[in-house]
Amino acid sequence: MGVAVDVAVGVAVGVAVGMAVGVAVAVGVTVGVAVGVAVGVAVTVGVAVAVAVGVAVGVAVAVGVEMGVAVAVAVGVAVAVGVAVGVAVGVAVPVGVGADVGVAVGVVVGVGVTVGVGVDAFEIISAFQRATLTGGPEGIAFVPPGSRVFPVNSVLIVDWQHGKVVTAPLDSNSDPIVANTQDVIQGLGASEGGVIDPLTGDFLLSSAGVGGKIFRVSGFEVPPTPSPTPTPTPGPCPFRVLIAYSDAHPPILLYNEIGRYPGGSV
Amino acid sequence: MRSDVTQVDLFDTGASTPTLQQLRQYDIVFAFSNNAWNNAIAMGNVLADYEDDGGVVAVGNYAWANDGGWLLQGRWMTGGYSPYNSTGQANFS
Repeated sequence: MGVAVDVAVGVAVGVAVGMAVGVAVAVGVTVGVAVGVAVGVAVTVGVAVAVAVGVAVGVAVAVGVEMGVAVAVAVGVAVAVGVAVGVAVGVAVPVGVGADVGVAVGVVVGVGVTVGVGVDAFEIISAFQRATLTGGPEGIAFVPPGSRVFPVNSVLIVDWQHGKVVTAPLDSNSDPIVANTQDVIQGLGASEGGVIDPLTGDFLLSSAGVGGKIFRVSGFEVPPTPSPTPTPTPGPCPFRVLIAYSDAHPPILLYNEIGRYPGGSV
Repeated sequence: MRSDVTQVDLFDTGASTPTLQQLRQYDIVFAFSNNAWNNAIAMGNVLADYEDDGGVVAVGNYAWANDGGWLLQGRWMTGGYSPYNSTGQANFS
């Protein structure tokens, strides 16, 4: 499952027809044509929602003695699903002879282009909580087997909130038995990290709470070296290959290239 | 990944068309045309038969170029074996 952020850019062209009520003596009728540009940012979850902001320029024809030019600003909200269709509501302010002020209501129809930028991630099918560690565990390291005092199977946990290192034995599923947790180091302040040096067995952690220092705790056994998994030696596979060609010359280079593999017959 | 082979042979399909019995002697058949097939329909049919029989078929260009008799035809091209459709143009890759 990924997270996608989409950017929708569209152009909206609409027609605004409104009624103007003048503050002057006369009452005028404003007819305008709105041409708007819709620019929006959309987060797509099946349906894109875009905000359209447009500027409408129209011509007002007033009944009576007034005649002027109307300049309107239309602000609307459009729902975009590939094609943006919205309703723009604007205020028309005439400039010129007359003093009509009206409200224009238009329809904005826009076409949007959606460009998506996605970030792929692993898809987590399911997750189970099998142990609850309090205090903000920052680092967990397995105690090398044979280390004195510690049980055979146990972990060291760096507790950031309480500024300490605790240890807990492991159950048969290798989960820490939280009820049996014991403090190992206290007074560290906010601490992080926590790793066993594979060569020496030393336990390393950092603490921002005491001046940003790295602590080394010695005394643990050297962890056993993992035995390498043997890599099987590749052997010849019994492939028999036929090159069926229609050409003026036989593909000798290809023939030699295939036959040059170990076990090849050429 | 390198794969080893125990046998590799050539067959001139511009001169004749192999039979299914001949193809069965191989695990993989790589067919391509840089010239006209001897019989493009028969060649496509026998490749499809071979694939139905468990063989592995790999086809290279210009088997999808619809000019000069290079276009592979038969069941391999029409029966859902080919990953591409010929567009009637000179397809190079």
